[in-house]
Amino acid sequence: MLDSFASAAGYMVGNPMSFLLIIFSVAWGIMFGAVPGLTGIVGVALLIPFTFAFDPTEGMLLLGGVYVGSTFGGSISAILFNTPGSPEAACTSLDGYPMAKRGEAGKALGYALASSAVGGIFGTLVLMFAAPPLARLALQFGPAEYFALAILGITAIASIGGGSLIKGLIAGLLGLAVALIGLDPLTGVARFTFGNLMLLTGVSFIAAIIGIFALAEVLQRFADGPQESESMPQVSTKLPSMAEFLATKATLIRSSVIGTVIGALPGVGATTAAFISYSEAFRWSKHPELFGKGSPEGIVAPESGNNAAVGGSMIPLLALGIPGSATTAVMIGGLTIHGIVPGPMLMQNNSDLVYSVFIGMLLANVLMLIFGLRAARLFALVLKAPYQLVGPAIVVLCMTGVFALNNNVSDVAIMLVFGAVGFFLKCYGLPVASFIIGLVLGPIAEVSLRQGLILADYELMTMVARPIAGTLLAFAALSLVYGLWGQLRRPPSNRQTTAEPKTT
Amino acid sequence: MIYKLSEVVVFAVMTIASVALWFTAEALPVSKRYAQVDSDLWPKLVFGALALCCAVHLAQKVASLRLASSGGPTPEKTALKSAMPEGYYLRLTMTASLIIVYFFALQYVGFLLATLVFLWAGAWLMPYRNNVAKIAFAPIFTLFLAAFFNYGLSLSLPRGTGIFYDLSQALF
Repeated sequence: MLDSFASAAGYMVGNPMSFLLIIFSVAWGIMFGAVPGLTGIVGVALLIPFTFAFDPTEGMLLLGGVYVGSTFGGSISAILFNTPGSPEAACTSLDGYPMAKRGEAGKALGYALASSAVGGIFGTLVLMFAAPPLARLALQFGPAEYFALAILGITAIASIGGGSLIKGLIAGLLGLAVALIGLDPLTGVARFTFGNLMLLTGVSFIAAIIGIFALAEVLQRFADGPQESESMPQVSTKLPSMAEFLATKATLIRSSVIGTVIGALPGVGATTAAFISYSEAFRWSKHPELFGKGSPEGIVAPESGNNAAVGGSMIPLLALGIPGSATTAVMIGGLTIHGIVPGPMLMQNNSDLVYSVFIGMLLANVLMLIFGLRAARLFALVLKAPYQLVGPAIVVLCMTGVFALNNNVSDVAIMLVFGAVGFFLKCYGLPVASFIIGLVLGPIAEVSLRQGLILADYELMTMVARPIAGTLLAFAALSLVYGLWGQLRRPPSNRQTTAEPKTT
Repeated sequence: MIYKLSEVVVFAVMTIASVALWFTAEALPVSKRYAQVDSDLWPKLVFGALALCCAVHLAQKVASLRLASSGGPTPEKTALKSAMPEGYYLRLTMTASLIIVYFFALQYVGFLLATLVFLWAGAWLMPYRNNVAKIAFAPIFTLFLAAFFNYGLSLSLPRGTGIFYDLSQALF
């Protein structure tokens, strides 16, 4: 292994082009992440043809850098405009935007940037040193384990309700209900489409989150009229002090571990990692009442989780040849056009390439800190413009981005509908976080429950008695009890916050 | 009071809709192969739980409404009154209408013209003194975005139909 590292490091040092490619790809990734609708997948896909011009290692460095950059980039627009640039940044809006609104945009971006770098570096280190054993662990995850994992995330929806258990449940169940629209994944029966063909493929998640966050916010801001107090006086990126950052160390470590493990699981990516990290951060926080109101933990958890998932999702790709996320699935295309087949033999036959990618991803995470500061300052300039101009521009950007995603107007229509849904949720104090968690984890929970029951001969107990599934479910039950106990233990004044019409 | 009433109506509608959707799930085609884990299993769990939660919340809201009408303490009322600024519903309706018109205009008129007019109209929704910025921003932003998507990323933008399509073709 050390020989491979030395060889890869030698390649990198002797090939300055690789550094230039990493620099370019991180900047490109941040830009794609930050523009709503243009996700990291689009950024990677657009660069694949250009990898022809480079050798395979350079090509992979290019794609890996974009992946790292785009995962962070989404948080910039999520924090500054409540418009998640990418799905994995949706969770960051929940606390990033409220923090920015109270004049701490710089600090919010700083938390996002620092935790992204820590999570990204953690995920890459795990990828370097523990890829084979973690890939084996990922292979032990069957439907029962996926179901338990989804339940672990879903149990949090009961707690995230601004103190109201019933509102958290209603919002979460609404999210689960929306996720039912489309073809049944097992039988192929159309469900709840009511004859509308464009709903057969289900609700586009990107269109939905952009509508819920960005469009609902624009509607709210315009309806509220001009408000001086909502300007953001401090927008330059300022990293949190060491003491402030260390105060979130438990969340940071927990979320990085969760992100890496979830990233390594095929089929679930950075978005799921971000939401489960957020749920767990909320559940174990000493100040859960601050979530949704600009809690640093609410930014640190999803950002470290989703960036750790980048390294995690490369584990099954490089060790098994199975993509861990949608972006790595696109990256397989980049490998195969160079005649490289990802899988168990890759690490033996192309160790230079694999270890160069490891080193490149570490560098990309460090570069992300530098570029993130610059990019955030650039984006922050937009905040100096009046909302009368910025608001309509956000609507245009969202519509254009969502349209460009599939070249499809129906996605834009879905975004508009979810803009109204987001506004409705805000109006009636239903927590958006619970709704989105239900939307993300609903399909995973349903499919894995049904597949698990089939495999267990329809015996629920047999299904949940598997070691990993049982442990995860027990953990979910325990943390649910702990969360509810914490909620009951709080004084009644803290339990029901009176931000009814504007609860995040 | 209007807000509280609307809450009661909304959660009543949601309860009824959840029950109706539970029955819609019940009516889904049956698969013999997956009889025990059929398409209706998860939807029935979700809509059953949703109906229950909405009903409980509705009962809470009705109780609080009755308390309010009998002159009991209503801390929510004052908070809500202050949360709705003057002209709230007018601005909300105008913004929502403008966005919907823009959505249809994108398809029929195309990106360039629709965006230009939308940005100009949007800038007048809220008071802002700098007229030069209002007028100049729309064309600059529209052209920048069209160039970025069309030439920078080679991603297509809506071009409209008929004469507008020809115009868009000529421009980008």
